[in-house]
Amino acid sequence: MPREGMTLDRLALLLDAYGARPERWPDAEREAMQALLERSAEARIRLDEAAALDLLLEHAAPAPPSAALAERILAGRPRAKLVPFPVPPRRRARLVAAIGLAAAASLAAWLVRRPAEYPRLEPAALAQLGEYQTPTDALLSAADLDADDTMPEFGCDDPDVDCDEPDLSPRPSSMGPTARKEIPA
Amino acid sequence: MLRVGRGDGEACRLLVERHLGRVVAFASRVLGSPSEAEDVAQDVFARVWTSAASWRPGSARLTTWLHRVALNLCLDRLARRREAPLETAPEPADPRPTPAGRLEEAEVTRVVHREIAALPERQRTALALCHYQGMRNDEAAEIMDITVEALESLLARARRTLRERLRPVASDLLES
Repeated sequence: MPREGMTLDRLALLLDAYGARPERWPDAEREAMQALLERSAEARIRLDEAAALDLLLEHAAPAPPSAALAERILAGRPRAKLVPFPVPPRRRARLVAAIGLAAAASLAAWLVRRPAEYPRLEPAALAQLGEYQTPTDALLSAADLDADDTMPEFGCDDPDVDCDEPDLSPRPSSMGPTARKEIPA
Repeated sequence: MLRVGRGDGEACRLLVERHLGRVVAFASRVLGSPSEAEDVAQDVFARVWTSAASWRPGSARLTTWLHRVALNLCLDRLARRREAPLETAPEPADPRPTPAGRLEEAEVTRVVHREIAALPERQRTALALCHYQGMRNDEAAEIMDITVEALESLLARARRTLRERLRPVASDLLES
């Protein structure tokens, strides 16, 4: 409903306050203002002055925010929290206890484990390790074989094992060509 | 806001996209300093992040809340400026035209900015809320914690002052 008796002074105050654009005028005053403007030339002069000031004020557009500002702001935003699987409290307590016991039991078993795959050796057996015999030993111990004649000359010819230059000159056998090894019974 | 409070990244980004520019623009007009306005905007959104989880829908419009927080932060800075006026006060307005008598567009902008910055703090705030932020008079009055009649009085005084101070600029602009 239009405000009855809108005066020029009231119109001037409202134009001074809100400017010349009707969408900025108070809802309750707009219709009465428009009615007065239609019938009053003085009112229209005031409207033109307000419009000129509005035009000037439009020159004061603010600078847009810097691109980095939004990123700085978002860097501090709340983060989603990890929500644990919902387990009832009593059951949760039992679960925690069971896990703890299992872990303790595993640790204890590892510490006291008796390694069955590692046989214990008696001292006498340890001393005989150097007399361990292979099938080759058995073959070489045959009576008609002379290990020194059939075996290649022992020498170090692998430069990686830090040996001297091999002496390839033939050397006489230390046991003689007809010596036989005693074969143990 | 509830999604923001839960740490929804997309919701946070949308909130910033929609409101950051307006908050910076408002603070810039109240403070007269774009760099300080960015600091205020950062503080405003820091409060958004801490308050989002407890936001009650219907308790207040978000834009009203944002501007209220921004205004309070601006007023704090303005109060600190008064304690150190020589270091941080904006330059005094000088509406005289250039010797050539005609003002370029950029100069008009500079002069208008200076004249707005020279207004008293409450007039400047009322103008920023109603003219530049496009707020309704009741919303602007709520943000400033004053009546609508008091708001209209501040607006009218601000615009009358600007009309007088910008008259030389207006005539040069019309001539050019």
